[in-house]
Amino acid sequence: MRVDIVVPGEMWGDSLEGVMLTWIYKDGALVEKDQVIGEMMVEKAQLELLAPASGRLRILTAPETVIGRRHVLGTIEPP
Amino acid sequence: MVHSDVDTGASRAERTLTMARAGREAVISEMRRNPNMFLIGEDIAKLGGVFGTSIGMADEFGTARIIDTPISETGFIGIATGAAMAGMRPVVEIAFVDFIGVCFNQIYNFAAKTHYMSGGQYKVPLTFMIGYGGGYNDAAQHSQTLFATLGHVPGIKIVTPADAYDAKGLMHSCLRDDNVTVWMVHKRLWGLGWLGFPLPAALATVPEHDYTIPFGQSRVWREGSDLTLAGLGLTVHNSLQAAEQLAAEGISAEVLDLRSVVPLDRDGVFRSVAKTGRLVVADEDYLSFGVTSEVLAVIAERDPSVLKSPAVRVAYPDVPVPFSRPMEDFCLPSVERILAAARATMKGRKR
Repeated sequence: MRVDIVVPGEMWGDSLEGVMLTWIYKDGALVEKDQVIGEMMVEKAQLELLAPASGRLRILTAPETVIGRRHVLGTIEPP
Repeated sequence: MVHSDVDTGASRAERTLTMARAGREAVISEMRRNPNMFLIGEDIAKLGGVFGTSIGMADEFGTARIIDTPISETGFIGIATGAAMAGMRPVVEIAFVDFIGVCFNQIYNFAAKTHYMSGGQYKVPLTFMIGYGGGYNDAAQHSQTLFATLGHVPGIKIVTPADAYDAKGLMHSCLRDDNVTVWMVHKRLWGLGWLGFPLPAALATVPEHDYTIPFGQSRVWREGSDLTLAGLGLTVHNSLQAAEQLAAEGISAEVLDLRSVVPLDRDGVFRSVAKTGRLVVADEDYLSFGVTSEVLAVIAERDPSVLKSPAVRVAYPDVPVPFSRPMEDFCLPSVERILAAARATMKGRKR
Protein backbone atom coordinates (compact mmCIF):
# COMPACT_ATOMS: atom_id res chain seq x y z
CA MET A 1 0.00 0.00 0.00
CA ARG A 2 1.28 3.46 -0.84
CA VAL A 3 1.56 5.90 2.05
CA ASP A 4 1.79 9.65 1.56
CA ILE A 5 4.56 11.59 3.35
CA VAL A 6 2.68 14.59 4.68
CA VAL A 7 3.88 17.66 6.60
CA PRO A 8 2.55 16.78 10.04
CA GLY A 9 -0.38 18.98 11.02
CA GLU A 10 0.77 19.40 14.60
CA MET A 11 4.07 20.94 13.49
CA TRP A 12 2.74 24.28 12.40
CA GLY A 13 -0.41 26.34 12.01
CA ASP A 14 -2.56 26.63 8.88
CA SER A 15 -1.28 30.02 7.82
CA LEU A 16 2.46 29.36 8.15
CA GLU A 17 4.69 28.65 5.20
CA GLY A 18 7.76 26.49 5.59
CA VAL A 19 10.34 25.11 3.24
CA MET A 20 11.74 21.71 2.29
CA LEU A 21 15.44 21.77 3.14
CA THR A 22 17.01 18.39 2.37
CA TRP A 23 16.25 14.76 1.76
CA ILE A 24 18.59 12.39 3.57
CA TYR A 25 17.81 9.50 1.24
CA LYS A 26 17.69 9.42 -2.53
CA ASP A 27 14.57 8.80 -4.53
CA GLY A 28 14.01 5.05 -4.63
CA ALA A 29 15.90 4.28 -1.41
CA LEU A 30 14.54 1.74 1.03
CA VAL A 31 13.64 3.39 4.32
CA GLU A 32 12.22 2.18 7.58
CA LYS A 33 9.21 3.52 9.47
CA ASP A 34 10.11 6.40 11.82
CA GLN A 35 13.58 6.87 10.33
CA VAL A 36 14.50 10.55 9.80
CA ILE A 37 14.30 10.96 6.03
CA GLY A 38 14.46 14.73 5.58
CA GLU A 39 14.60 18.17 7.12
CA MET A 40 12.17 21.07 6.85
CA MET A 41 12.27 24.58 8.20
CA VAL A 42 9.57 26.84 9.54
CA GLU A 43 10.15 30.19 11.26
CA LYS A 44 13.93 29.58 11.59
CA ALA A 45 13.36 26.22 13.29
CA GLN A 46 14.65 22.99 11.80
CA LEU A 47 12.13 20.12 11.80
CA GLU A 48 12.77 16.47 11.10
CA LEU A 49 10.61 14.52 8.72
CA LEU A 50 10.02 10.88 9.70
CA ALA A 51 9.12 8.03 7.37
CA PRO A 52 5.43 7.23 7.94
CA ALA A 53 5.97 3.62 6.82
CA SER A 54 8.69 1.21 5.70
CA GLY A 55 9.24 0.92 1.97
CA ARG A 56 10.64 2.67 -1.07
CA LEU A 57 10.96 6.45 -0.88
CA ARG A 58 9.48 8.48 -3.73
CA ILE A 59 10.35 12.18 -3.58
CA LEU A 60 7.75 14.62 -4.92
CA THR A 61 9.07 17.88 -3.46
CA ALA A 62 12.49 19.27 -4.30
CA PRO A 63 14.66 21.06 -1.73
CA GLU A 64 13.99 24.83 -1.54
CA THR A 65 10.28 24.30 -2.27
CA VAL A 66 7.83 26.29 -0.17
CA ILE A 67 5.53 23.95 1.72
CA GLY A 68 2.50 24.29 3.98
CA ARG A 69 0.69 22.22 6.53
CA ARG A 70 -0.57 18.89 5.14
CA HIS A 71 1.54 19.31 1.97
CA VAL A 72 2.32 15.90 0.41
CA LEU A 73 6.11 15.78 0.14
CA GLY A 74 6.48 12.28 -1.24
CA THR A 75 5.26 8.74 -0.86
CA ILE A 76 6.41 5.45 0.53
CA GLU A 77 5.77 2.60 -1.86
CA PRO A 78 5.92 -1.10 -1.16
CA PRO A 79 9.53 -2.28 -1.62
CA MET B 1 40.36 2.83 15.52
CA VAL B 2 38.24 -0.24 15.04
CA HIS B 3 35.61 -0.05 12.43
CA SER B 4 34.50 -1.87 9.36
CA ASP B 5 34.40 -0.16 6.03
CA VAL B 6 32.17 -2.92 4.78
CA ASP B 7 28.58 -1.79 4.64
CA THR B 8 27.17 -4.13 7.27
CA GLY B 9 23.51 -3.50 6.61
CA ALA B 10 23.17 -4.28 2.94
CA SER B 11 19.56 -3.15 3.04
CA ARG B 12 20.39 0.27 4.48
CA ALA B 13 20.39 3.02 1.93
CA GLU B 14 23.11 5.67 1.52
CA ARG B 15 22.48 8.81 3.52
CA THR B 16 23.13 12.37 2.35
CA LEU B 17 23.65 14.58 5.38
CA THR B 18 24.07 18.26 6.09
CA MET B 19 27.20 19.31 7.97
CA ALA B 20 25.14 20.11 11.07
CA ARG B 21 23.68 16.61 11.16
CA ALA B 22 27.01 14.93 10.40
CA GLY B 23 28.83 16.80 13.19
CA ARG B 24 26.01 16.14 15.63
CA GLU B 25 26.12 12.43 14.81
CA ALA B 26 29.79 12.28 15.79
CA VAL B 27 29.15 14.06 19.09
CA ILE B 28 26.23 11.76 19.92
CA SER B 29 28.26 8.65 19.14
CA GLU B 30 31.21 9.78 21.29
CA MET B 31 28.87 10.77 24.14
CA ARG B 32 27.33 7.31 24.10
CA ARG B 33 30.79 5.74 24.35
CA ASN B 34 32.14 8.09 26.96
CA PRO B 35 30.14 8.99 30.09
CA ASN B 36 32.74 11.67 30.95
CA MET B 37 31.83 13.71 27.91
CA PHE B 38 29.39 16.61 28.21
CA LEU B 39 28.25 19.52 26.07
CA ILE B 40 28.06 23.05 27.45
CA GLY B 41 27.02 26.37 25.91
CA GLU B 42 24.21 28.82 25.27
CA ASP B 43 20.82 27.61 23.97
CA ILE B 44 21.99 24.03 23.42
CA ALA B 45 19.57 22.05 25.60
CA LYS B 46 16.13 23.60 25.15
CA LEU B 47 16.71 25.11 21.72
CA GLY B 48 19.09 22.45 20.37
CA GLY B 49 21.77 24.98 19.46
CA VAL B 50 21.49 28.21 17.50
CA PHE B 51 22.78 26.25 14.48
CA GLY B 52 21.05 22.97 15.35
CA THR B 53 24.24 21.39 16.66
CA SER B 54 22.51 19.63 19.56
CA ILE B 55 18.95 18.99 18.40
CA GLY B 56 17.41 16.21 20.48
CA MET B 57 20.52 15.64 22.59
CA ALA B 58 19.02 16.85 25.87
CA ASP B 59 16.26 14.26 25.46
CA GLU B 60 18.80 11.46 25.19
CA PHE B 61 21.51 12.60 27.59
CA GLY B 62 19.63 14.84 30.03
CA THR B 63 20.46 18.37 31.13
CA ALA B 64 23.30 17.22 33.41
CA ARG B 65 25.31 16.41 30.25
CA ILE B 66 23.75 18.94 27.85
CA ILE B 67 24.18 22.10 29.87
CA ASP B 68 22.50 25.40 29.03
CA THR B 69 24.49 28.32 30.43
CA PRO B 70 23.89 32.01 31.02
CA ILE B 71 25.49 34.43 28.58
CA SER B 72 28.86 34.14 30.29
CA GLU B 73 31.49 32.65 28.00
CA THR B 74 34.31 33.26 30.46
CA GLY B 75 32.40 31.30 33.09
CA PHE B 76 31.47 28.26 31.06
CA ILE B 77 34.76 27.98 29.22
CA GLY B 78 36.50 28.21 32.58
CA ILE B 79 34.24 25.40 33.81
CA ALA B 80 35.04 23.33 30.74
CA THR B 81 38.80 23.91 31.02
CA GLY B 82 38.82 22.90 34.69
CA ALA B 83 36.63 19.87 34.00
CA ALA B 84 38.97 18.79 31.21
CA MET B 85 41.99 19.09 33.51
CA ALA B 86 40.11 16.96 36.06
CA GLY B 87 39.59 14.16 33.54
CA MET B 88 36.30 14.93 31.85
CA ARG B 89 35.86 15.55 28.12
CA PRO B 90 33.88 18.77 27.64
CA VAL B 91 32.54 19.97 24.31
CA VAL B 92 31.90 23.71 24.21
CA GLU B 93 29.44 25.16 21.74
CA ILE B 94 30.11 28.76 20.71
CA ALA B 95 27.75 29.65 17.92
CA PHE B 96 29.77 32.64 16.67
CA VAL B 97 33.57 32.76 16.67
CA ASP B 98 33.23 36.50 17.27
CA PHE B 99 32.49 35.71 20.93
CA ILE B 100 35.81 34.03 21.69
CA GLY B 101 37.10 37.48 22.52
CA VAL B 102 35.00 37.42 25.67
CA CYS B 103 36.75 34.31 26.98
CA PHE B 104 40.12 34.40 25.31
CA ASN B 105 42.08 34.43 28.55
CA GLN B 106 40.61 31.03 29.47
CA ILE B 107 41.33 29.70 25.98
CA TYR B 108 44.84 30.89 25.29
CA ASN B 109 46.33 31.16 28.77
CA PHE B 110 44.73 28.14 30.43
CA ALA B 111 43.22 25.64 27.98
CA ALA B 112 46.02 25.92 25.43
CA LYS B 113 48.99 26.10 27.82
CA THR B 114 48.25 23.85 30.79
CA HIS B 115 49.50 20.66 29.16
CA TYR B 116 52.84 22.32 28.45
CA MET B 117 53.16 24.26 31.70
CA SER B 118 52.32 21.25 33.86
CA GLY B 119 55.07 19.28 32.18
CA GLY B 120 52.47 17.00 30.63
CA GLN B 121 50.81 16.17 33.96
CA TYR B 122 47.48 17.69 32.95
CA LYS B 123 45.82 17.17 29.62
CA VAL B 124 42.99 19.41 28.48
CA PRO B 125 40.73 17.30 26.21
CA LEU B 126 38.40 20.14 25.33
CA THR B 127 36.66 20.55 21.98
CA PHE B 128 35.06 23.74 20.73
CA MET B 129 32.41 23.66 18.02
CA ILE B 130 32.23 27.09 16.45
CA GLY B 131 30.46 28.79 13.57
CA TYR B 132 32.25 31.42 11.49
CA GLY B 133 31.86 33.55 8.40
CA GLY B 134 29.52 36.06 6.86
CA GLY B 135 27.60 36.69 3.68
CA TYR B 136 24.17 36.96 5.24
CA ASN B 137 24.01 40.54 6.59
CA ASP B 138 24.95 39.92 10.19
CA ALA B 139 27.44 42.78 10.46
CA ALA B 140 30.87 43.16 12.02
CA GLN B 141 30.41 41.31 15.32
CA HIS B 142 28.65 38.19 13.95
CA SER B 143 30.41 37.55 10.64
CA GLN B 144 34.09 37.15 11.36
CA THR B 145 36.27 34.14 10.58
CA LEU B 146 39.24 34.63 12.95
CA PHE B 147 41.23 31.50 12.03
CA ALA B 148 44.45 33.41 12.57
CA THR B 149 43.40 34.77 15.96
CA LEU B 150 43.07 31.19 17.27
CA GLY B 151 45.75 29.64 15.07
CA HIS B 152 48.43 32.06 16.22
CA VAL B 153 48.50 30.60 19.74
CA PRO B 154 50.46 27.34 20.20
CA GLY B 155 48.46 24.50 21.72
CA ILE B 156 45.20 24.74 19.75
CA LYS B 157 44.39 22.43 16.83
CA ILE B 158 41.88 23.87 14.36
CA VAL B 159 39.92 21.99 11.70
CA THR B 160 37.71 23.53 9.02
CA PRO B 161 35.65 20.85 7.24
CA ALA B 162 34.08 21.80 3.92
CA ASP B 163 31.56 18.99 3.59
CA ALA B 164 29.51 16.65 5.74
CA TYR B 165 31.88 13.67 5.36
CA ASP B 166 34.82 15.68 6.67
CA ALA B 167 32.60 17.32 9.31
CA LYS B 168 31.90 13.94 10.91
CA GLY B 169 35.39 12.46 10.57
CA LEU B 170 37.15 15.56 11.83
CA MET B 171 34.70 15.86 14.73
CA HIS B 172 35.54 12.30 15.81
CA SER B 173 39.25 13.19 15.61
CA CYS B 174 38.70 16.30 17.74
CA LEU B 175 36.68 14.45 20.37
CA ARG B 176 39.30 11.71 20.68
CA ASP B 177 42.24 14.11 20.94
CA ASP B 178 43.72 14.65 24.39
CA ASN B 179 44.15 18.41 24.11
CA VAL B 180 42.37 21.51 22.83
CA THR B 181 40.69 21.17 19.46
CA VAL B 182 38.48 23.59 17.56
CA TRP B 183 35.99 22.37 14.95
CA MET B 184 34.91 25.33 12.82
CA VAL B 185 32.16 25.36 10.22
CA HIS B 186 31.18 28.25 7.98
CA LYS B 187 27.61 29.25 8.82
CA ARG B 188 26.57 29.07 5.19
CA LEU B 189 27.75 25.45 5.03
CA TRP B 190 25.84 24.18 8.08
CA GLY B 191 22.74 23.32 6.08
CA LEU B 192 20.39 25.69 7.81
CA GLY B 193 17.64 27.28 5.78
CA TRP B 194 17.79 30.66 7.47
CA LEU B 195 21.49 31.06 6.61
CA GLY B 196 20.93 30.11 2.98
CA PHE B 197 19.94 26.72 1.66
CA PRO B 198 22.16 23.72 2.21
CA LEU B 199 24.91 24.07 -0.34
CA PRO B 200 24.59 20.89 -2.43
CA ALA B 201 28.38 20.50 -2.54
CA ALA B 202 28.59 20.56 1.28
CA LEU B 203 26.10 17.72 1.56
CA ALA B 204 27.84 14.37 1.41
CA THR B 205 27.31 10.67 1.71
CA VAL B 206 28.09 9.91 5.32
CA PRO B 207 28.62 6.37 6.66
CA GLU B 208 26.76 5.41 9.82
CA HIS B 209 29.87 4.03 11.52
CA ASP B 210 32.47 6.15 13.32
CA TYR B 211 35.58 7.17 11.40
CA THR B 212 38.38 9.66 11.96
CA ILE B 213 40.28 11.94 9.58
CA PRO B 214 43.85 12.81 10.61
CA PHE B 215 44.70 16.40 11.50
CA GLY B 216 46.88 18.30 9.05
CA GLN B 217 45.95 16.40 5.90
CA SER B 218 44.77 18.54 3.02
CA ARG B 219 42.34 17.15 0.47
CA VAL B 220 42.48 17.57 -3.30
CA TRP B 221 38.90 18.11 -4.46
CA ARG B 222 39.87 18.55 -8.10
CA GLU B 223 43.14 17.73 -9.83
CA GLY B 224 44.70 20.30 -12.12
CA SER B 225 47.99 21.19 -13.78
CA ASP B 226 48.06 24.96 -14.47
CA LEU B 227 47.48 26.47 -11.04
CA THR B 228 46.52 25.63 -7.47
CA LEU B 229 43.43 27.18 -5.90
CA ALA B 230 43.90 26.65 -2.16
CA GLY B 231 41.10 27.35 0.27
CA LEU B 232 39.29 26.11 3.34
CA GLY B 233 35.64 25.85 4.33
CA LEU B 234 33.46 27.95 2.06
CA THR B 235 36.35 29.15 -0.11
CA VAL B 236 36.84 25.52 -1.24
CA HIS B 237 33.39 25.68 -2.82
CA ASN B 238 34.05 29.10 -4.32
CA SER B 239 37.33 27.76 -5.72
CA LEU B 240 35.55 24.73 -7.21
CA GLN B 241 33.13 27.02 -9.01
CA ALA B 242 36.01 29.15 -10.23
CA ALA B 243 37.83 26.00 -11.43
CA GLU B 244 34.78 25.01 -13.44
CA GLN B 245 34.77 28.38 -15.20
CA LEU B 246 38.54 28.29 -15.72
CA ALA B 247 38.22 24.86 -17.34
CA ALA B 248 35.89 26.42 -19.90
CA GLU B 249 38.66 28.94 -20.60
CA GLY B 250 41.19 26.14 -21.08
CA ILE B 251 42.87 26.52 -17.69
CA SER B 252 43.32 23.44 -15.51
CA ALA B 253 42.98 24.40 -11.84
CA GLU B 254 43.70 22.13 -8.90
CA VAL B 255 41.48 22.77 -5.87
CA LEU B 256 43.22 22.09 -2.57
CA ASP B 257 41.24 22.09 0.69
CA LEU B 258 43.57 22.79 3.62
CA ARG B 259 41.06 21.14 6.03
CA SER B 260 43.18 22.02 9.09
CA VAL B 261 44.52 25.46 9.95
CA VAL B 262 46.61 23.94 12.74
CA PRO B 263 48.45 21.78 11.95
CA LEU B 264 48.72 23.17 8.43
CA ASP B 265 49.54 20.62 5.73
CA ARG B 266 52.64 22.41 4.49
CA ASP B 267 53.81 19.36 2.55
CA GLY B 268 50.45 19.13 0.77
CA VAL B 269 50.54 22.82 -0.15
CA PHE B 270 54.09 22.61 -1.45
CA ARG B 271 53.43 19.39 -3.38
CA SER B 272 50.49 20.95 -5.21
CA VAL B 273 52.20 24.25 -6.02
CA ALA B 274 55.42 22.50 -7.09
CA LYS B 275 53.26 20.58 -9.57
CA THR B 276 51.19 23.47 -10.94
CA GLY B 277 53.66 26.35 -10.55
CA ARG B 278 50.98 28.88 -9.67
CA LEU B 279 49.02 29.66 -6.51
CA VAL B 280 45.87 31.53 -5.57
CA VAL B 281 44.86 31.13 -1.92
CA ALA B 282 41.41 32.19 -0.75
CA ASP B 283 40.26 32.71 2.82
CA GLU B 284 37.42 34.65 4.45
CA ASP B 285 39.62 35.72 7.37
CA TYR B 286 41.26 39.15 7.27
CA LEU B 287 44.07 39.51 4.76
CA SER B 288 46.92 40.56 7.00
CA PHE B 289 48.75 38.09 9.27
CA GLY B 290 46.41 35.27 8.29
CA VAL B 291 46.13 31.80 6.74
CA THR B 292 46.77 33.19 3.25
CA SER B 293 50.10 34.68 4.37
CA GLU B 294 51.07 31.42 6.06
CA VAL B 295 50.37 29.43 2.90
CA LEU B 296 52.51 31.81 0.85
CA ALA B 297 55.26 31.53 3.46
CA VAL B 298 55.41 27.77 2.80
CA ILE B 299 56.42 28.43 -0.80
CA ALA B 300 58.69 31.36 0.02
CA GLU B 301 60.59 29.36 2.63
CA ARG B 302 60.84 26.02 0.82
CA ASP B 303 61.51 27.02 -2.76
CA PRO B 304 60.00 30.10 -4.39
CA SER B 305 61.56 29.05 -7.69
CA VAL B 306 58.66 26.60 -8.20
CA LEU B 307 56.42 29.60 -8.92
CA LYS B 308 55.98 30.51 -12.59
CA SER B 309 54.24 33.75 -11.58
CA PRO B 310 53.63 35.64 -8.33
CA ALA B 311 51.16 34.00 -5.93
CA VAL B 312 47.92 35.87 -5.20
CA ARG B 313 45.93 36.11 -1.96
CA VAL B 314 42.15 36.52 -1.99
CA ALA B 315 41.07 37.32 1.56
CA TYR B 316 38.88 39.68 3.52
CA PRO B 317 40.15 43.27 3.28
CA ASP B 318 41.44 44.63 6.61
CA VAL B 319 38.12 46.29 7.49
CA PRO B 320 35.24 45.37 9.82
CA VAL B 321 32.51 43.36 8.04
CA PRO B 322 30.00 45.84 6.59
CA PHE B 323 26.29 45.35 7.28
CA SER B 324 25.28 46.64 3.85
CA ARG B 325 24.78 43.70 1.46
CA PRO B 326 26.54 45.25 -1.57
CA MET B 327 29.45 46.39 0.61
CA GLU B 328 29.71 42.97 2.27
CA ASP B 329 29.55 41.18 -1.09
CA PHE B 330 32.38 43.40 -2.32
CA CYS B 331 34.61 42.23 0.54
CA LEU B 332 33.93 38.47 0.47
CA PRO B 333 36.37 36.07 -1.25
CA SER B 334 33.85 35.42 -3.99
CA VAL B 335 34.06 33.22 -7.08
CA GLU B 336 34.56 36.39 -9.13
CA ARG B 337 37.52 37.54 -7.04
CA ILE B 338 39.13 34.09 -7.19
CA LEU B 339 38.60 34.02 -10.96
CA ALA B 340 40.17 37.46 -11.36
CA ALA B 341 43.15 36.38 -9.25
CA ALA B 342 43.52 33.13 -11.20
CA ARG B 343 43.45 34.93 -14.56
CA ALA B 344 46.01 37.46 -13.28
CA THR B 345 48.36 34.76 -12.09
CA MET B 346 48.03 32.93 -15.43
CA LYS B 347 49.12 36.12 -17.21
CA GLY B 348 51.79 37.00 -14.66
CA ARG B 349 55.43 36.39 -15.48
CA LYS B 350 58.27 35.59 -13.20
CA ARG B 351 60.12 38.77 -12.41
